[in-house]
Amino acid sequence: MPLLEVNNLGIDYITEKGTLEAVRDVSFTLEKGKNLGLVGESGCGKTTVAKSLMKLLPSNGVISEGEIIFKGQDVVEMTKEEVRQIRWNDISMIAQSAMNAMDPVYKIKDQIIEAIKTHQPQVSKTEAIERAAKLFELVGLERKRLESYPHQLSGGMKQRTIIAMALALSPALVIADEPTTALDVVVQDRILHQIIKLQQEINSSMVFITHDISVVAETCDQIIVMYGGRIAEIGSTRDFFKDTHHPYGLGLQNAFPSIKEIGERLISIPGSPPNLINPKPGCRFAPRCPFVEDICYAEMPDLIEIKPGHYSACHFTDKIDQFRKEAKLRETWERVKERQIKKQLTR
Amino acid sequence: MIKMVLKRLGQTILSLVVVATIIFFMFRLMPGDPTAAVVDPSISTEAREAMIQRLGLDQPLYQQYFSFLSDAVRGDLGRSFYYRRPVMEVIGDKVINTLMLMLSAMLIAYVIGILVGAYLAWKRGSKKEATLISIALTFRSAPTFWVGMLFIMFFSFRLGWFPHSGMRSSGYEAANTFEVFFSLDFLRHLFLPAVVAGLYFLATPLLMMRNTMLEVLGEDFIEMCHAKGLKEKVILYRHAARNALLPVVTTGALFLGQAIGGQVLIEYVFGWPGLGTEIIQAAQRHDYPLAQASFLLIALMVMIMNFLADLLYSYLDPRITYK
Repeated sequence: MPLLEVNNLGIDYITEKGTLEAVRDVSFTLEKGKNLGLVGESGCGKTTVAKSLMKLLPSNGVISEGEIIFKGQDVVEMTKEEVRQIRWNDISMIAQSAMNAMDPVYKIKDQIIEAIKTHQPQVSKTEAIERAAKLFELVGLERKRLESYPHQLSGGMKQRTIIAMALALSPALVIADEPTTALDVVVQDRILHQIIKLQQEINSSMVFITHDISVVAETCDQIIVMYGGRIAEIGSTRDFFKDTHHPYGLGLQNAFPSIKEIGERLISIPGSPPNLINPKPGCRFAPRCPFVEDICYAEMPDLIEIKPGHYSACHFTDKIDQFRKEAKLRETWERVKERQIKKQLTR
Repeated sequence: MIKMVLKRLGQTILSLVVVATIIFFMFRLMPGDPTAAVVDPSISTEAREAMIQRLGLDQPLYQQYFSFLSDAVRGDLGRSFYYRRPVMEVIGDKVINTLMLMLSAMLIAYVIGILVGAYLAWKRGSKKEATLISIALTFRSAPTFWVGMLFIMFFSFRLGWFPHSGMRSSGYEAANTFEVFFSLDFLRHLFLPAVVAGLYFLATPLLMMRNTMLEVLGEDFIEMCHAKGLKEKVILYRHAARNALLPVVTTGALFLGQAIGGQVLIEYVFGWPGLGTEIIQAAQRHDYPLAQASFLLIALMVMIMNFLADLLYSYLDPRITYK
């Protein structure tokens, strides 16, 4: 039995302008000890998916369909109290902005102890402090830092503290929501490796949210590329990087620099993500896709199996060789820009 | 820390001198004759002159000013023109009476306001929220003497639970100093005016707490608290409310400073022998020493309370340190 199984997940945000279809038809499984990378632009639904795993959606967010089976139990069906009990104990989170993720008026040690004692009330205070000190050692922080208040720590130290806190109860699943975005590159790399090392030590699984696909390449076994609330492509990290099948995935890879082509201007994907309130029919990526055809505007593509475990939601998975060649050229994407400008002018 | 205290002390003394100066000239600039309230208007001019001489009002203004200041430094605030007794004797008891009433009212307003305000933020948009805010605002807008009369009518005359006015039953003699203010008799007299004043003050801490709470509830660390699986009550009171407390403390301190001036209407309706009525009468009677002393006392209280609030800050918010 996999640790986590998500089936046909759909999440809505109720807004004043109408219902926003934040997430649709997301399914995946995650085995124990494995890492999953969730990639995509801002607003593509990756954070929403991850937060729904511990039912941490904002108050206007609803899980409208699907199930989230964690350790054989459907999280969607759980009561508030049941969810509260699995939070941190079974599923913990390394927050996006470690800068503000701690209560400014309490000492670090009190906040770690609070997490431990909430779920394991039988642990004594001295024991909890000992455990916190050990965690601090693991993430490379001095023990005396436990006595600090959050504002007395640097950004990197805060992030380490959050990591230590997230691992305090050895949870089966850790959600890392862009854990390194706020840090400088050198620290980023060090912390990334620390997370992976520790996570392997306690043998937990991890869902890694990022818009930086190079991070996924380094850390994850499996990758989901999301676009407009849907899965564009899902597969093992190896398959995805060697054998990308979705035009959006190809575009994403262009948008990141590789060492070999220093000095070369990066090719970006023209346009912006779709509006998810009353979305248009058809493929969500169609307006930005260089290989778009009429069917793309009319019909939503299903996820098509390319090989076991590797799926892409594109009508033209068979034309991938041609796509791949053209996607490397700047002109291909320039065409999209021209198309978009023309469309705006005719409107 | 000690440096900060000394610095603040210096500032306080300087401000007090400024306030004393303003008060001194303010009352003397007011039109009217200080002797009018003390002696019979039909009295002869000579007697009036003698009176003015006795009060020292015939001296040039600057001499009056310096003798006022030098006396004040020595702790002597003069004798009341009207009562012909030392000012401190006149005010002394009344200050304590007023403070007892206002402290109780504040305790009611701030304890209820903070707890309920925090709860309202949590229940934002619910019917409960709308109802409770309306109630608080009603008590804020209704004239206090009217609310006071309603309370007297209902709790005192209909139900007979509480005495309708005064501070003690007639003929009551306190057995010792402690019982002067902590006897059942006193507390029963205190209850109604304190509740009415408390309800009047309630809206400020309540709304302020609610608003800052709403801000705090949107912060990242609150989401983190949820992720940690903390119980809702713990998040609400230990984390969110604790962080939202700061601005409320400020208003509380300022309020206490002003409270010494009392609530004239409430003191009047409930026949409470407080300072509020006394100050107004002193100003009307041109009883300079009494009015000056009262206002100086209010200024001093505001400053002391502000200072205490600053000290409390550094305790409530570890990000604030004094050097």
